[in-house]
Amino acid sequence: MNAKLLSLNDVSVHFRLPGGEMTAVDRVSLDLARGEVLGIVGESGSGKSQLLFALMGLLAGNGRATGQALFQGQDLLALDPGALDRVRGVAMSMIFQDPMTSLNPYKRIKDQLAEGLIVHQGMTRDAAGTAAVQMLDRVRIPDAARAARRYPHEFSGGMRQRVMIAMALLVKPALLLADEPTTALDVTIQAQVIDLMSEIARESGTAILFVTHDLGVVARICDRVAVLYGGRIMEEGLAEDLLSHPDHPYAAGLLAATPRMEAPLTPRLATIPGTPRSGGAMLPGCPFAPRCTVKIANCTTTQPPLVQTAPGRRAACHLIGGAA
Amino acid sequence: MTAPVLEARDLSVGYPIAGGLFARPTILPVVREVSFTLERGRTLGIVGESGCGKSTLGRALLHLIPPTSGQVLWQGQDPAVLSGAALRQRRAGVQIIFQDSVAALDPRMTLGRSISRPLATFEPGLSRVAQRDRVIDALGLVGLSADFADRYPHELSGGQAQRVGIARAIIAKPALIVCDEPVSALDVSIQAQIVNLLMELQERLGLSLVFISHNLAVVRHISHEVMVMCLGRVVEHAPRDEFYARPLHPYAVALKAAVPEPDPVAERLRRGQSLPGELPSIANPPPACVFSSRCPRVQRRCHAERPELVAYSGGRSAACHFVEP
Repeated sequence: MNAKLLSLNDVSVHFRLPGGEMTAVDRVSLDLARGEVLGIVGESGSGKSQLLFALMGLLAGNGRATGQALFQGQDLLALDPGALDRVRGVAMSMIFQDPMTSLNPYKRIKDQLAEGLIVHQGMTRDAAGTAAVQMLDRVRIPDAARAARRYPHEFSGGMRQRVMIAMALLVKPALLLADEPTTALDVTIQAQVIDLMSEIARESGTAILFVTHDLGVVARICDRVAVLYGGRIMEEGLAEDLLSHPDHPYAAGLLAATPRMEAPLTPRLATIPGTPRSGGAMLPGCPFAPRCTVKIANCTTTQPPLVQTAPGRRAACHLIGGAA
Repeated sequence: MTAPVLEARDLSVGYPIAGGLFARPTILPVVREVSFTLERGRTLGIVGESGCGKSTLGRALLHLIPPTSGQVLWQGQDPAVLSGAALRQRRAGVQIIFQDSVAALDPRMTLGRSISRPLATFEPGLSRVAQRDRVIDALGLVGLSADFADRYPHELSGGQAQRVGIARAIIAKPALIVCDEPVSALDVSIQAQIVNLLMELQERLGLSLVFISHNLAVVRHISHEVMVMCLGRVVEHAPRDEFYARPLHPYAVALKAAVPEPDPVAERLRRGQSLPGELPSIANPPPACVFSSRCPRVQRRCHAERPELVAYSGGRSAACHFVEP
């Protein structure tokens, strides 16, 4: 598991806006091992989705990414569109929140699935079609051979997302980038889709970068988690460690504000005062300082570095000491 | 004894769907035979997945959709027998807040005007100065400063918009607010603020709340009792603590187990145990028990005979042939 599959070094995302430049992601460094599921968690404006879009080469026209994203020896941020396309077709796949916007409404499911195999792997039409049907069966689409001849609108939301998973995994990618893939689904369907993703990823050794706002979803599928706020990593660690003992005031606040089914009830939910950052210039200090209840003078003037606090654990907070 | 703030008696609601060109439209039943009472200062949480009828029920409770059969009672009064000024007067007492409060506000009206609109309808005699005072009071109650009265909807964050929606709902001093997924579009830290605000207002103003949500964890925090709907029918109705300690109906059990908790150790144990199957369409529900097509404990009887909602100890009721109370 120690082999690095993806290595982000100081990845930033900037947008040119009428009022000047806005920084959505600020020097994020992360490693992802083969077969690992890494959760990227945050609220609106945390930069979690823009980080993913930068890796996919899908930033809006006024956006640009800097830094380095090494994937199988290539820097994804430096590739020309043609080369990036070949990586995306063969080694890296994507799933989005709304499968309907990713599926072509005028093409049969089977043809859409087979296309990747024909274009990128040179399969024959028949062989690709057979592989597509097998994959649909694998993601538990009932009566896969018949379903493959249908059009996207004939499927329910949960089935469409399973079709997207089938399409994403068909090329046996080393890396799957998933942006809130279960957020639009009903809760029992979400549980099915998460189970399916984690099962298939484990069997095929696919690593997943899983962007979500839901700490419960992180607990169910992720090995490791990075909590983002205002474009920066606040804390990172094994999901089990971080969710049971968050060190950073933001990670702790987010966890406390999440209503639970099992924990003892309190008269009021814990809250984080203020509202999530929405655009604007980067602050000189910690991006969370305006909402932090334990901030000290230093927090509004100096950005706390992301330091290792324990083996496999990092946090960016002036109140947390680094490991010696 | 005074009548409860809200009562539903065998309430059924349906939508007409077109038949053929010359066929008469038929009624598609969306909510079937729902009964409950809600007392002053209490919250009823209504949970269920897409198409279960929870939002339609919410609108029927406000008499925005007429029932196909059964009755809604507001403090003992059936709105269906009222009309004109009498109905308008009673409507002041029952308000609604929506998931997307910005969409519910007129973009060209100041927030102050939007918030005061219910006063123009329900208390037409009020002077402009008195209206302004009431708006500022309502803004204060929801934690916004008086200057918000002169702002416009596009200036609001999601949490602020929901506060404005609540201010408009409480300005005419209602007894009941139906909240339809009021925190579903909000960030977690803001969701907690709004849930707390609703609970505070309930205590200060003695409000009764119907809280419609797909999020069982949020419903647990705000509700006194919980009703689970599946394809238009109530399958379980119980006091909050009893429900969350041990739901009786297999659908309620599955729904509760499907909510992911931010606890990796507990979640690892649940991996691979998700409920199989798709949500059936309300247009084509299973014939007898509404949950029979997905139920892990289904038996032959479940396909033949619809289970009635039966009362058990502790104020609980469930509609399943095989409940173990």
